[in-house]
Amino acid sequence: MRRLWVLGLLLGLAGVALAAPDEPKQERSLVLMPEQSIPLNFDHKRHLDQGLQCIVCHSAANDSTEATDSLIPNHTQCGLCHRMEQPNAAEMFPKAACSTCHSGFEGQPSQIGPPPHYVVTEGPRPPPVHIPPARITFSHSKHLAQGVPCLQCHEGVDETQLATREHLPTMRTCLECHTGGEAPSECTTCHLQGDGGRLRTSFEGEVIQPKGRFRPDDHGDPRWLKIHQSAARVDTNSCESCHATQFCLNCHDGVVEDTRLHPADWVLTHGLEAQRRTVDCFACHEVQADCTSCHTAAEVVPGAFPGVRGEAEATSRFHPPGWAGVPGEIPPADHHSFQARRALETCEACHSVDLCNECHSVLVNPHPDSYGTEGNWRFGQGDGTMCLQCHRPGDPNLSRLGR
Amino acid sequence: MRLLLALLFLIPAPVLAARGGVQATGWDAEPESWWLKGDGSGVYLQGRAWARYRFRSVRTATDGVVSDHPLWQGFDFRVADDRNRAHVAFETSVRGGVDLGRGGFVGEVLTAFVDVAPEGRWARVRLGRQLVATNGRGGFSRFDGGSTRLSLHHLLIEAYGGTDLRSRAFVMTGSDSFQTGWGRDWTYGFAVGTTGLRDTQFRLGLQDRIREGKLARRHLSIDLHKGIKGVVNVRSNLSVDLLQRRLQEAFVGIDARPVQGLRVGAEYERWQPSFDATSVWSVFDTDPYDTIRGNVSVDPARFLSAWVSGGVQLLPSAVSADNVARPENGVASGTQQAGVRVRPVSWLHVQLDERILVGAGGDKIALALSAGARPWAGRLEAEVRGDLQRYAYDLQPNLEGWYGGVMVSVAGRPVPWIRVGGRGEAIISPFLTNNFQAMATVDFLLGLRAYKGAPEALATAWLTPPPNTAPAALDGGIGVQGAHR
Repeated sequence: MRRLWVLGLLLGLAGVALAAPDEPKQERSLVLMPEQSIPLNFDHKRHLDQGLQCIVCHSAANDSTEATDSLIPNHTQCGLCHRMEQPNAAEMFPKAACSTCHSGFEGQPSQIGPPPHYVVTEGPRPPPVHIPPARITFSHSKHLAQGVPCLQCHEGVDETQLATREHLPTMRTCLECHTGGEAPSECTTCHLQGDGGRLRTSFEGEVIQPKGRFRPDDHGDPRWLKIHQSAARVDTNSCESCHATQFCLNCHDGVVEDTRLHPADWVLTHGLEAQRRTVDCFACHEVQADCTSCHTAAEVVPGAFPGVRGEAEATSRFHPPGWAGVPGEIPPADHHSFQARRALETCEACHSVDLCNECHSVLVNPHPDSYGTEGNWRFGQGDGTMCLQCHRPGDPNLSRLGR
Repeated sequence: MRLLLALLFLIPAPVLAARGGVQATGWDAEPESWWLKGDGSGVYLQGRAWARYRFRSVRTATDGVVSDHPLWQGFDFRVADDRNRAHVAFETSVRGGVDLGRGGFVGEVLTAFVDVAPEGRWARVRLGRQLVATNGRGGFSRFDGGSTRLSLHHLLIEAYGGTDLRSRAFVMTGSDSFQTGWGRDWTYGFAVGTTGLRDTQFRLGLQDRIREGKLARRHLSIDLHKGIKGVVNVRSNLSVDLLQRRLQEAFVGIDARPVQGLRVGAEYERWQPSFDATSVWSVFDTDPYDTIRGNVSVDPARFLSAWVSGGVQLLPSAVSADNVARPENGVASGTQQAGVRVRPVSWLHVQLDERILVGAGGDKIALALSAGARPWAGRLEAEVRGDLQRYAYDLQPNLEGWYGGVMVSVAGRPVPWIRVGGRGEAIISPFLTNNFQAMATVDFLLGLRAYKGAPEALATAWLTPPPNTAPAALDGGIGVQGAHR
């Protein structure tokens, strides 16, 4: 029955994966591509419909090698068609009044210097345009030399009026071509590089982090701290793109407990969680180092509790009375064997195997009835080192097993 | 005297800061990371020295009160040439601890390794004490030895080997103190997988551990992650204990983001612990269990996140060696958690968490409220947290009762290269009636960069980001200025 529902679950997962819709519209990072303020009138569609090529206005793209280069046309480019110095600039075609481009700004032609630069010489100025540079590395020159059409990256510009950050390429757009072949796909191909070749992830207190678009590395997932191990194991290179080894040690070998994972009363309730295994303690902790040290200090250790080894009048504060049981009697429901079979590693957190041997080597045979019979894979396993933990060399039981 | 010796750890940072010919890069504004990202153009040195003093008082099982107050200190250091050619770097992290009441200084080198990589970083050789992410739930392996990683287009090959180390803790029992640890085992392993692929990650790893001259563990782990259409991520893992011929873990999970701001996920896991083949623990057979979990989280706005998750764990029926069934132990347990996080401004958050557990193992209901603030670009950090929970379990009645705790933590950076903080915790429970802990921390940290052609560069720290990283903005014109070069 259990196999059936597991199979059903797997089939369901596969079905969900296959039926997944296409990716929703991807938002651009506000850290890498900050908000803009562009109080301009401009119609890209109209200009392109007139037969203009992008490069006519954005001529600086030819030689641009950095994302920080300004490719926005200035008065010189606009003035090639829009004759701003003309007294009837507002009526001629194409119109060339200040308000033609600068929305709501009624300047005078006398404020404009002569062509070809049309420097603004005096008087009030139009509302400022604020276009922070994208915090990436990018060469328009290289892409143009490869013959990449502008609209391949700036999708939709030919159908819009004002181009904004919504018309900048997304990471998925870049990775359509940058697959690691002719076009490199290293993180630093596009992202800014920092010390040690790692990515620069912090910008004035704002941080960029993976969002799980291409792999299960969504750092914004509430479960990320608990599930990151899998992603770290399968693609360490990806982690090391941003993090140094020291970053791991900050938590994994830290001497301060991380309250993001464990609540303040964790020291007293973790045992319950450990038994329930709602968390995986051993993804981060070493049994002997992390568990034993504190348990020793608090005297929550074997030997501190009278009665845990079978005395009738048990008074243990941790294990219940009857925990050890009485040899030869039917074990009660709170007998340690049931808990041990369900979570032996939690026993190991406090106890060494010597404690088991105190009873199981003398009073209670730890081997099931089937032990040593044909078909029991443990029979004959390894070189017998484990057997010699209890049995002495020459033990007839070992001889029977050929040891 | 020990205290003075210990405080020597703290000296290097300010001494180095006072030397000329370098520029102190100060504290990185990036949360949880102290490495300042540079521009990849020079030889740099980064270091951090820290000290943490903790006072802990625990009422023990025998109604006595045990107090300890260890002072831990550490020093992390990295020097590297990050110019875009063959890469050479040395990195180390050391720490030491002393209990000011009992003595017993313990020193430990956590990592100390040399990295060598050719131009293009397609290969890397690392020699020394280091960490590797290994198979299954083993997590990290820390060892003294060597490792190499080759990234050949999309093929990744890893190999490592050395003497395995276990984290050693400083343990005090009465008047004695000792170090824990399992000593040294030989470990080696290799892995092949993919790297740099956009939607697929695969890794197959094999790891052996040699204990006392005998093969104690041989683990095989296969991981496969697959992204589908940018919407779905599938995670899977298979871990096998080859020596004990036991399936240790089988896991598959699927996470989907069908629309912006919504995450939906489901997981299945089968888990069975395994132990060293040389250990008697392996004689005591253990039961596997199956777990299925689901989760949903939403970010309806930039300032608001909420999540809910739940799952069921199925265990075999409890049957004694004499074939006596014990249904009281139960065969299933359920868990449910939910939380909401509000971030009205970027430097402040308030979070409420709830959790319910029922079934085999007892019943539990818990509530936690926490808040954290990092104003002034993270130069002040404050956190408070309170927890309350009720636990009841028929088979362990001595653990039944109310549990709770509060924690307050404050830290600040009066100057960019110093961080001081304090933390206090008070805990109540019917099991240990009180537990109090206070901690003070001091961190010194600093990055030094030797700039080409600027040997006289100032030994100053930036209170604001370096000028070459400031965002460019316009005022009254069209165009951009400034550079991220």
